[in-house]
Amino acid sequence: MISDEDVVELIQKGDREKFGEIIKRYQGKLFGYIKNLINQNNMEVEDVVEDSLVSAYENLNGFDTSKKFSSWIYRIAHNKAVDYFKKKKIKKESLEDRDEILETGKEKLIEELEIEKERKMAVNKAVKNLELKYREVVLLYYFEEKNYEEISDILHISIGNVGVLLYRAKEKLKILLNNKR
Amino acid sequence: MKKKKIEGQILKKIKSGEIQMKPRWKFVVKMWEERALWLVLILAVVLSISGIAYFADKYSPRELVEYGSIGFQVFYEDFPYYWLFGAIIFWIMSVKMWSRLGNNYRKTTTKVFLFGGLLLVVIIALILFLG
Repeated sequence: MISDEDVVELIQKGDREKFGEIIKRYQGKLFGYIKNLINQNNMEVEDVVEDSLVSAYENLNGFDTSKKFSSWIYRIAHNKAVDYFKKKKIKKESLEDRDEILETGKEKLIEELEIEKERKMAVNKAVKNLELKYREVVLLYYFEEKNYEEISDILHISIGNVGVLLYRAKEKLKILLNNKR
Repeated sequence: MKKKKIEGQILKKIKSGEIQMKPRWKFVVKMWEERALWLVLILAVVLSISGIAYFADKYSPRELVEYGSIGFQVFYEDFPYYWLFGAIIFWIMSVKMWSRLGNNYRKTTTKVFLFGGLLLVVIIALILFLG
């Protein structure tokens, strides 16, 4: 399969309709990420996804094809999610509870937190109650399966800081989960 | 999620020209603008601090304190306000630029100005009283 970077290169050279391929590849992924990050209804999330994809297209000439496209587009989606927070004045520290999300990617997290698999719902709730700076690294690492370097690119923080935030996030999750016992 | 709907909508807008890619030169210009601005800011801050250091070297505030109100009058009259003014202007510009980089939501304007202001005060105090 042709890589994202090659598809982007074709679009940059004038094959604009190839952007449909990018949309197909990233629409679902971005939807899941933004949904977990902003925790709003599907309509709102779709709007943020659409904004992110439009912004990605508009700025495509600014993308360096020697770099990783997925980090770049996640970065745009992340910024759009943050803009959404600001626009709607949503409190970033804690969000309302919605149980239908965070259905994938939890296994590794549950394993690392050393808790019983039966407590998946509790993990959902705990992740959603994390402060944004911790929630975003947890989502990117465990749910989007990004590595430290990619998270560092997406969030514009150092790799060391990614490790620190992940460690603290896990500690906070353990506290939140223990409090719920 | 209506995957087809978003894809169709965006492609329709692309075909109609409603959304367009920004030309490459805009990104090149932006990159150079940012580099040039950083260079100017660094030079300006260095010049401003050098000005204050020069003043501190010539008129030691510790000595002026010993001369009481006259000492302070000389200090106030000779203080290089234009250097300080310049430093503050460029400091505000650099803070504004910095806030545009990285995760903006992590750096609220209040935090940025408090931190930057504190840093500036500490630098000036160190130069004046230790320099």
